[in-house]
Amino acid sequence: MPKIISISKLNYAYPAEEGKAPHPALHDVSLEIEEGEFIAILGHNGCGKSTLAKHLNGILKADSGEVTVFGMNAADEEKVLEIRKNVGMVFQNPDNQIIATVVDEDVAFALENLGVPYPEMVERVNEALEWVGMTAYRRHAPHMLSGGQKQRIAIAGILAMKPKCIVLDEPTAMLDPQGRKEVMKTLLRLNREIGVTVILITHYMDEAVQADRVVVMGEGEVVLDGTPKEVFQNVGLLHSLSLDVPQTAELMYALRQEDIKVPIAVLSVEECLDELEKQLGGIGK
Amino acid sequence: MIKTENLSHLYSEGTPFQTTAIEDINIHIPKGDYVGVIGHTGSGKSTLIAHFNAILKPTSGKIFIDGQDLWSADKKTRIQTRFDVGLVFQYPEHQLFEETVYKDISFGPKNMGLPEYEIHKRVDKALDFVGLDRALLDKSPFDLSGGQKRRVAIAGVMALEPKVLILDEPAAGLDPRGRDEILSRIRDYHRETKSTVLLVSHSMEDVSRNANSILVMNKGRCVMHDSVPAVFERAEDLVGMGLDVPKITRVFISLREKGYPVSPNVYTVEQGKDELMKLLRKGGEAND
Repeated sequence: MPKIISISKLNYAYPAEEGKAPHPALHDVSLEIEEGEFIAILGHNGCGKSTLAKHLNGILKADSGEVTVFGMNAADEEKVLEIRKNVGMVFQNPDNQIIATVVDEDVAFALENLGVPYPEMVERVNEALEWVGMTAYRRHAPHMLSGGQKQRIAIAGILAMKPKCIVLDEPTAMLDPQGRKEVMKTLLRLNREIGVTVILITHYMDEAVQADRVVVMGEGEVVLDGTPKEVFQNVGLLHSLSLDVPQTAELMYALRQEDIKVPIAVLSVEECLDELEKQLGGIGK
Repeated sequence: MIKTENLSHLYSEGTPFQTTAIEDINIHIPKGDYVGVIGHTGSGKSTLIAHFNAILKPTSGKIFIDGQDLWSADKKTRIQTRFDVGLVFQYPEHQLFEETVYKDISFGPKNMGLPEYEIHKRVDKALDFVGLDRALLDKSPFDLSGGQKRRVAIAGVMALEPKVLILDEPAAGLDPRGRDEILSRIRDYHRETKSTVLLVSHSMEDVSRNANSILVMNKGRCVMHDSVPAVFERAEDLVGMGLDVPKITRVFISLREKGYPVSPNVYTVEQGKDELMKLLRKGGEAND
């Protein structure tokens, strides 16, 4: 798969407040992202993950190093519009992202600004609503919807621009478990069925384990980068970064401390059962 | 401490939009208990707790706080209830409004009509409970980080020194570190003040790690109210209600279904490990 985003030795510090030193947020971050990947980015608050995300579509500009997005320099003022058509962003609070009073008008907002002809606009809006499963709500008022539904409308608004990549900054943090599942299902579907590259910033392990690749950040640097299985091997390190580890991996880790030979990166209930049965081998049955 | 009798609440009563939010709730929460309140969105959790400090008036049924029937008492008693039962709403940082952190935390005690020195003492104590630095007192709450704002908002309710502290999803939107920090502060508060605490949460893991008992709401009814182990004993029912039980609980339910003699009552990694080690040791002895 072709590389669509390439970050090399990116450094960024937030400008100094009066009488204070600049606040460094990213330190020599290098990362390559291929088309069609589903990447989860983990890290505690203040580790630089949102700062990193904001470099991907030109909201922030690197102090040093380079961010190349679809062959364009993300810091190039003239390319910003083109980049934003390709890389859409969804933020945490659904209420801050909805502008219109009717769902389909909200989804059409960016297209109107881009001057997309009406018939095409209608088609794109319908398609986007279909993808997020909100067609039935197209004439509804957004403020009457649940958090998960609102977030799916925000995703549809981005989808209507037909981006190749969507970056989501903790889109599920304010949702209930039901809403979280809805959003996650939508993202997986977009990724698997139309090949949209998804970069998902999250605190939830059950979301991260569903990604193809997990990037863990700590204090402005990339600490771990690999498949969920590779990353969740490192239970001790993840603890030291105050991150959660899936309970099944925690259990395996605890058993390992007792000299029981089990693999650590066990991420689902089914897998965990299999491993335990191997160990127990029918004891007590 | 809190008791309800056939408590029901209808929204938009007498209109075509009439919906039953909670129905026929009969519970008794003893003084000093730490109760986890779970149920998914729309199950009636928020409606229920809004009755405990007289924000909502029941459509029918009764609420007793400290033996006092709230709605047959006079208005003064109900105002007192607002101080006795402190309610921290979801995303309480959205309700900060004063110019300084000190003014925001002292707003409640001031309204109670307490003397200045007492207000000062309470702000100080509340600050300790939530772990905020005194250097922040003169700052505008709007200049703080999200986690700090949340703590200021919680401190504002703790400064009332309520007999009952109710928190609606106090960890929502925080990262794991922020969540653990807030929950451990609340635990300390509960232990030190011996007050009654109600923690409303979607997370069975958070509830099981913090509360002594659990109240489960489903479709407007209270379907379980028991100790943490007793509620987890019915983990299958919880799954049936669409609640997310911890992964580890699901592992042990399945092991039990497969015929292994393990407790179905496992909800922490520690308990899980102990159960397995017990079983493995038994296996080891049998082989010797």
